[in-house]
Amino acid sequence: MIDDLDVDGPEVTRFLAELRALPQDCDPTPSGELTVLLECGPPGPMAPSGVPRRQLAGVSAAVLVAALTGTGWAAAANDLPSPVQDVIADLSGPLPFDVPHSSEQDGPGLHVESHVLPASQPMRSHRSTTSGPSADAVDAHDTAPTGSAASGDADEVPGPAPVEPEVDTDGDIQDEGDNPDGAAQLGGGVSDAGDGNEDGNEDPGDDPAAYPVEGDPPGVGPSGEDPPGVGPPEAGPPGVGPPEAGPPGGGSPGAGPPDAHPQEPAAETGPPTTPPGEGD
Amino acid sequence: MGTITEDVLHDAAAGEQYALGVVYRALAPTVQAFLHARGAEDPEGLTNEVFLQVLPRLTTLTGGTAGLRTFVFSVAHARAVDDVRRRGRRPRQAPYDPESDDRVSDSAETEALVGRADHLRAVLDRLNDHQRSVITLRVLADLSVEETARVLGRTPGAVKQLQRRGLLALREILEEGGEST
Repeated sequence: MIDDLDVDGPEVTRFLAELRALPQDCDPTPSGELTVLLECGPPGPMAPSGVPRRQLAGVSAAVLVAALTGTGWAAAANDLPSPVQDVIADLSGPLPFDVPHSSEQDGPGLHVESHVLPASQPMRSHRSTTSGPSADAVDAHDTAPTGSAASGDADEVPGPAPVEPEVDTDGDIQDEGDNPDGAAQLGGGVSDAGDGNEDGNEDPGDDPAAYPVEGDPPGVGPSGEDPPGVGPPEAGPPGVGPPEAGPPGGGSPGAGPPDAHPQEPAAETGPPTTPPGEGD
Repeated sequence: MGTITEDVLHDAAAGEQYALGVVYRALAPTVQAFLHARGAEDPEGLTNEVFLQVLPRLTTLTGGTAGLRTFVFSVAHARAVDDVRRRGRRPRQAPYDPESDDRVSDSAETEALVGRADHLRAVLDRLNDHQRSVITLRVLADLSVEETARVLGRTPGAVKQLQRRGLLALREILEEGGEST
């Protein structure tokens, strides 16, 4: 390159030649960090496969989300192996949805509910389809809590009915309390907590839209709060909202005159459900 | 530079140890000399910084060996500019270094080398920044007018003009007796 510099004068030429030879006197010693870099190579900005790290991270995140979602659905459907199901159920306390324990799966007479309940609840239908036989159990459990809700008392809690005929006969709102108990008895494995919740939550749970959340009554605290025996039957509904709200929203959309009283439907449904349940 | 072939460059981009060493050994002395000629206080330390920045980015390099040289001296030029600015902002504070102690007598050979390098540097210091950059990039780094223009962010015409004026200034300086002003 020095040739095309168009240099004139011997002094300048000599100076540029010396300048060009200057690197010969230089022998830089690599620093420790540079030595490591030279010996080990740079930390690869590219993955071995040539896929940029950013893409890898994206794919990994997508896989992780998919796995978590799948596991979550399976847990909600109680399809996971018992140990895993129990662990997830324990960990899902603070979550806004209910993950049943594996033991809640086997409850006698739980199947009744499916036909009694209106098909309006998407979650329920999903679960039933996914979980097959166990679905009944799940439904029952879920419905029990929510369904036990004021209106649903009778219908959804067909399970309890068989166990405790009194409830049905009562026909009164008392059912709520009864239901939970019944559910507990029926399910055997069903946790009291869940049942208790149902009582208080009934109203909100009745809403088809809010159904998925029913298991864990939104406003209701953890199990401890709503023991079946707590408060009068009416207490539950009022706590959640106006008395009317309970019935109409009530899981018993099928019931024509829902507005009447939560108890009425219970009374009505009670009788029909008991037979199947009692079949045992 | 002759030892850096396209194959070596490809291997260096893949992180091959030998190829990284070839690139470093071929270019590091020139980079250090370039930084010294540009007036850097610690040419060796800056040379390390240059290669710490260059080597990990070889995978994104385009233009083959010529592109590598342009890239390396772009980084070196930026480091030299940063060094000048840094010195302008604060006085230099460094631990005592016996090797840079003037009261210690060097060997005759070292004295000759250092003396020559200092002489070159003193002459170049009398050029303005732009002329010095063009002369050092064209002569030391062996870059073409276009490559120099790319490094400096100027047009080739501007580089030619700076080069011409720089050479004229050099002749005048050397005719006057060199670095003494």
